[in-house]
Amino acid sequence: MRNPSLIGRVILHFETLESTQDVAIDYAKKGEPEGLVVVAEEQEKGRGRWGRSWFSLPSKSLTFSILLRPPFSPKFSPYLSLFPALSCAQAIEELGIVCGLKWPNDILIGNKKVGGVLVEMESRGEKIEWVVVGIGINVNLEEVDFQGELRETATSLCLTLGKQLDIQELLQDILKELNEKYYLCLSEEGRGKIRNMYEERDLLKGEILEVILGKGQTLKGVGEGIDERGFLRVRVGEDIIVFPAGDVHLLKRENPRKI
Amino acid sequence: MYFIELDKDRLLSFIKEVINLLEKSSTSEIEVEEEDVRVILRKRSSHSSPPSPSIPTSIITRDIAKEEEKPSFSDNVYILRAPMTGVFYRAPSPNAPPFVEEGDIVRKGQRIALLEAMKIFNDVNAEVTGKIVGILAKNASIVQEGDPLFAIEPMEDVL
Repeated sequence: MRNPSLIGRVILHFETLESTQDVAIDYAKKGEPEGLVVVAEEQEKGRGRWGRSWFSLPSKSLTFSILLRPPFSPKFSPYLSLFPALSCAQAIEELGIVCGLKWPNDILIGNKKVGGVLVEMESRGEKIEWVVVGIGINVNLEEVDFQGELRETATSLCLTLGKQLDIQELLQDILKELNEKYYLCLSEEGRGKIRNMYEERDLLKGEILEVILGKGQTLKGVGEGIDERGFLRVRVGEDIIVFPAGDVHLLKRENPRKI
Repeated sequence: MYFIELDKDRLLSFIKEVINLLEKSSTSEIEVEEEDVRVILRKRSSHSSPPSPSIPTSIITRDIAKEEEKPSFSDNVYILRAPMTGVFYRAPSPNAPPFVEEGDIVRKGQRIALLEAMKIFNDVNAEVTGKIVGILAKNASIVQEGDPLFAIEPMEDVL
């Protein structure tokens, strides 16, 4: 059995970093064993999907990356996208906050994003060489910290609870969940449990969606949960279309709103 | 995505034909290809057990990498296949130039494409040193695990 505290066996804590992902990837390429966690109080160039920036503020956001070397085929790698979001959601729920998940791995409170996950991976054939999971949570950001459209689309744990939280304590709570869920990812039965727990928090199920895959490639339908691979199922008429990737917008009445 | 690039009427009549075939058949799954479209239909299992979600009808339409079936590459050409199902990207970002073009010489281990599944970007690296003689999947298209992505003519030595 794996060490239950595998993730976080080594925690590198930095005051300022350009990106926790870049540091963790450097360690990965140098052969560091799995379980390393890289935390930055301030991230200057936090990254999201397609190099989009991730907004964070020093001492107000929790931003960290974890290095994993899962002993399974890349075909199970979508679970490496689901389990971190699920772990964060469960740790946040422990604070008494109801939160949901937007496929594949956005963490939301109401309709506003409170956290996100970015996964980068290298594999050779059937072997995953390394996976680096980046996690960003808006912890103690206040209303004044959100500018422009972020005011409409983002929130923080502090805004929801009405009090400041201890970021390091939250990190420990999330690491505990990450360890449990990562272990589940390694077996078929465990992956089934991950899917069930994910679906309980799936904000897209039964909703009218628009999925965008590249330029001008758009499809509207109704969210039908995830399949056994973790891919998004969308009902279009009588058919189910399965998406391994894509930007999902939740459509409310006639007004598309990205959440 | 292919289903919007295709002629809808043609696609619908094709799917209807496949449904008819499946209804008449005793098998639970049918896969039919016509030109550049492949349709896979599965019958709803009457005794499938939860929690695995039962899929009433699963349809995947996509371009078929015809090159794989055609004997257009000699035996020594290496076919690099998708390690997982995902979206195939030839460039590091939507506005960046492709990693490689046909005719380019690549070294073993060189990143030549990306595969994305659920925000996971997986580098696709050349598994041999050689010349790209075919790019077998379309940019931003869904490829299935095992689909051919590149044809590479191995070269023993590259300056």
